[in-house]
Amino acid sequence: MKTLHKLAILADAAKYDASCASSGSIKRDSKKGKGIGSTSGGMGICHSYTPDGRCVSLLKILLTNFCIYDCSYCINRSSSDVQRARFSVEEIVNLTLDFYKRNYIEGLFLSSGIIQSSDYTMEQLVSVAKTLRKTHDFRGYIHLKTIPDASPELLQQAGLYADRLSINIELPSKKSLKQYAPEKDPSTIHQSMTQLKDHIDESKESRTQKKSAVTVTRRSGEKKKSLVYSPAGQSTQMIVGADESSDKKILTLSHYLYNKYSMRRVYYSAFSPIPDASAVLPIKSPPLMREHRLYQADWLLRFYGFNVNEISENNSANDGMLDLEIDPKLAWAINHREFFPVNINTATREDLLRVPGIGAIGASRIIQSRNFRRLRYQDLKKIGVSVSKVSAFIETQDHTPKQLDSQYLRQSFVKQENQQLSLFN
Amino acid sequence: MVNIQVETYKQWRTQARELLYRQIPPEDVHWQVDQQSNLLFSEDDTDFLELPIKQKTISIPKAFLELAKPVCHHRDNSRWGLLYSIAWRLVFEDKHLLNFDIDPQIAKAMSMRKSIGRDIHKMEAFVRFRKTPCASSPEKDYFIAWFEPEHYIVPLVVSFFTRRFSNMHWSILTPDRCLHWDTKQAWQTEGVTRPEGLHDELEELWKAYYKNIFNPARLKLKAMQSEMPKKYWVNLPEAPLIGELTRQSMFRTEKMMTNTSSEINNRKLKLK
Ligand code: SF4
Repeated sequence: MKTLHKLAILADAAKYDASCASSGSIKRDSKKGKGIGSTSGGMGICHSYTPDGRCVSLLKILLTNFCIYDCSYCINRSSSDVQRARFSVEEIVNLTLDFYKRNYIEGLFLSSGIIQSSDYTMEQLVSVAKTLRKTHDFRGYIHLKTIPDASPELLQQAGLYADRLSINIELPSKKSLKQYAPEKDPSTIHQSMTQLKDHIDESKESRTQKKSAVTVTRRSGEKKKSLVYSPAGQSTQMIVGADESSDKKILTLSHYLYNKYSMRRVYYSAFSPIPDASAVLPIKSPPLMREHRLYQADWLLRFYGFNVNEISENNSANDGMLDLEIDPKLAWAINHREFFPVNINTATREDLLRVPGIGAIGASRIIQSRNFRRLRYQDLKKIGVSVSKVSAFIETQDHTPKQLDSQYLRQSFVKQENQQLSLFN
Repeated sequence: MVNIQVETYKQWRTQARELLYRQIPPEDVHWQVDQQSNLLFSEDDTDFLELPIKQKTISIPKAFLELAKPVCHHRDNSRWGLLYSIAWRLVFEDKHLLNFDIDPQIAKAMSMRKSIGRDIHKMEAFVRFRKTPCASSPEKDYFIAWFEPEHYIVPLVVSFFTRRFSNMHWSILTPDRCLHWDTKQAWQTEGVTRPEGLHDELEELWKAYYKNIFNPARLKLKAMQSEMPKKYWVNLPEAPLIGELTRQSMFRTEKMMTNTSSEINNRKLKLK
């Protein structure tokens, strides 16, 4: 089979993975090296966008889509009649370098179906990363999807070459995992996440120690080598809409994953119809709006000081599902009108962040500008705050919200939101 | 009226400083953009440097210089005057001026900086190198890209491209200015017109990748266009695929949703 044909099959098989991020690693370049590549230390670059609006940052492919497992939600499961292919290590290495040289990509995101054994598969993945780094001095981004039951030695090696490692949690509950991915063991997944976290923490520590130990080593004359292990941390992915789990359940799990394993990101992937789908799962369009709301809620959890209960108890049915029609912050505000109006000139940063329409940047600008003079309602627009959204919830000397007690408040926002969304679809 | 012509940030800074020393207000300065307007003013053109210095020291906040630096690369010809006017106000009216995002001039400069930032970002993202045999030493690979930035940003992307593609020989050609790198040194030359016949076999692989990484069940065309506006499409090898992929996606999604799976088919077969 030609590389072109394999690429078509193995990119197609990889597209259900939501992540394509190349962010959060350390800063590198190839000026003193023999190869190519750099990372910014911050955000990665999207080199293209596909018609589904998704960023193309990495060459996201599978080593192979042959798989001995049979996870019902997966296009590569052993019982699927999809066409199979397998790349050699060398083919992936060359593709990555060739794409990188044309400035198509930031690096490689490699995962694989499981062939022969978990260890065998993991060895192949590590070997790709190792060849890129050691033989070609490649300094771009590498994300390796880790096989959870691979041996600790292999997990240890993987992090030496990868910028980021990930193990997918797959489904929001152990029960669903058992039902839809019977060969996967939730406790192994958690164990491996713990192992990754330990290595990542250790390496971070060694790097900060190295900085402070420079003078000491200089005196003692011995060279201390700091260990770089998966500098962009670990991430995971959860499939949404394949099982019955509520948003509350999903967010509770995310919260746990962020805290317990210091996940950099939890990705939500709307369960998407696949060719030759399994009969045990629903065949319907992917719940894209639900996925979108989960990302918004996830953001509120991590950066806005909300907790899971506050976010997931706002719809009238009280079933732990997010309101699909309006965003979760707005839903909370409408259900907690006693908190409003918030005074723009006196509120704390924390309280400003609770106002729908005021984000982190907006809050900072308000605080900065009001140091010098009292803000009027009109000033908000100039600062870049969307007035149509905030007007219902804030007060200034020249503005008091009129609709705050209105029973039609939610409805009026639903209309606004619909207009905005139609712009995007 | 004082006439001044500058082309770079450094030149602007030197001139602005001299103007401020002499307390020449913004409305008395004409910032020329090209040779032609020179003719209009040449008659009463006096050398302002001969005017007496009225202000011995001026202090300009560092934050302002950090704003001025990128804004100087904007294509809007009013940039020099705008920056001088802000500098003037900072020195003689209000040294906290920069904190007022709501001031029209500050807002304008900020939005110009934002637009520069976005342009740099898009250039770093959408430049596409094409491999061409090197005329002088055919054993070496040489990479050429053609790009049309919105603003005069070529000097601002030197570090990105040289840090990343340090061990390749390459040129990025643009209508304003070209940037070259030979693994050791970077240099710039005048702008050129779009070169003909750039082609790279590898684009077939890239297109195959682009086609297959797209999930037709998630079509969101407007979201894509807001990140990758049409004006960039001419230089992206993958862009011609967008129309076809979009047209097919409804059909492909429907097919996936109605397709009974092989499991069910197999079961049916067994029953027979
Ligand atoms: S192990 Fe991975 S590739 Fe294999 S069927 Fe399960 S999800 Fe798919």
